[in-house]
Amino acid sequence: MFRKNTIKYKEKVINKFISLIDKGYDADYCFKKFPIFDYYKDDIKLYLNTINNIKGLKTIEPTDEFKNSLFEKITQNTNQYDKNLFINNYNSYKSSKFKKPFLKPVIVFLSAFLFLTFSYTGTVFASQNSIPGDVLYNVKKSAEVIQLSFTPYSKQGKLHFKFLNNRINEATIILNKNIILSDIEINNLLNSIDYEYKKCNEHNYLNNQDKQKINNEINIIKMQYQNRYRKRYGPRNSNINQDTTSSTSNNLPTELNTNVNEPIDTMKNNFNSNSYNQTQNNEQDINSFNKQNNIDQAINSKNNDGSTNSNANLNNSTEITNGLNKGFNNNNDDNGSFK
Amino acid sequence: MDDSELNLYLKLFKKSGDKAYFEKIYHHFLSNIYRFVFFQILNKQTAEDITSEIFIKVYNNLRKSNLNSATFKSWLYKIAQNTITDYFRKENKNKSNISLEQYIELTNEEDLKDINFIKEENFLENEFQFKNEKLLSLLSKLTDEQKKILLLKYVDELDYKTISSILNKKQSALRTMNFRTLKYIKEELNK
Repeated sequence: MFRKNTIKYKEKVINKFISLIDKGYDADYCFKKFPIFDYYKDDIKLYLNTINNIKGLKTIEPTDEFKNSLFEKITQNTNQYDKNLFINNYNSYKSSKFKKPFLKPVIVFLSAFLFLTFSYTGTVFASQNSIPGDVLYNVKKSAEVIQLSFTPYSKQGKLHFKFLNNRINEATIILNKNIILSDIEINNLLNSIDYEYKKCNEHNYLNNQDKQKINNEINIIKMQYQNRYRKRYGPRNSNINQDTTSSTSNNLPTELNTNVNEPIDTMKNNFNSNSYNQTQNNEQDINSFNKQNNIDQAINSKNNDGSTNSNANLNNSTEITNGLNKGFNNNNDDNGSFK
Repeated sequence: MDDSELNLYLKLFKKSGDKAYFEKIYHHFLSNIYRFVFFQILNKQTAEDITSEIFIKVYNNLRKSNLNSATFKSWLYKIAQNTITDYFRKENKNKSNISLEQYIELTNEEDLKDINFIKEENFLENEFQFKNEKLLSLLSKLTDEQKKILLLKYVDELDYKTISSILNKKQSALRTMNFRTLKYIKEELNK
């Protein structure tokens, strides 16, 4: 009983009663169903009277004249509305399609994904003609790595051959255009040529003839780079070795004795240890070698192979690359080719 | 009009654009909207103008929107509320543009009549045949929100869910406010 006399409890009960009335329950039904309401019957009745008084405001209504005139006024705008109907329908269609909140993250993700994909493929496409030292050259290399990772092992030899062609092509472009690069970049390029050649051999992709041709080509490129390096820096070692008998006895430059897989650093060391006279003789030899246009015979005589019977007299490196290109196209239907 | 009936008319009007369907919706909601406007504007003529503006907006935009009975009510009242807000904004601008003398003249002649219309004897009795002057004077003392809740709940008979979407308030807050307002009116009426 004590609890029932508190104001808070009373308000709570009355509030409950009003909420039941709000939900649509009949007042008599509420009194019957919940006996606690009987205890505050007088107060509840006052509240019900207040609600009824407020409901009496329903009598405030607009006049019939206003009702009818307003409807006519509204329907006068119909023609204007019909003109805009198509545009409105289109706008509502558009808004209903794209204003769905769950589609927003999907659209954002898709647009970001498409933008990144297209921008990367565009950059890769633009980087196809790049050479070492260019800004996009690293993109070209990374694209090659990705291409290689998505290719099955059985077809990787073909791809390595394509990359080898690319590297040799880049090296010849640099030589022909006299592009000055740092030693590290040249070293990296020659190393990558060696690497791709090695990989082609690992996959048994090359014939003996191709191997021979490519080997010769790589040798010539390395020799030309060494020659260029020598012209650029000159002799640096003052301790001149007078033993030049071995180099002068041959028509070929001594650089052809170097291993195919020898990187430029080791070449530099060899160069420093050789004598000045030797280098002078070598330069003369190289010039004579280029003038004679007898590259195949020279290589064959130096290597003492005797197995190569290529009749092609390749005047310079570009002709060699053309020959390789032909062989490449005959063997494969791949897109990779020399320029 | 039931919710199912309202749904049907909304669908039919959207499909066909026939005025007859809109007329039924219009006649059902006109009085509610008029009262909603009237108790905020407190001027019969202005309330009629604003009500007509609201229903023109509704007629022009109803076919564009995908509404059912529940969403239509809150949409309609929101249009009404926005139109009233626009009216007050314009009024304030106009008042700020006129001179002080003009403002005093206006307040003396017209505005004071409108603002204090509830205090004038027999005003609503003549206009609307509403005789409970005590209740009207009490309503004039309430805040706008309290008035709106009472009107929407007991006169327009909307549920708390719809009211909360119209007034952007939580249902529990609306219930509490409603009970306090009722309590205040009850105490004042029984003094």
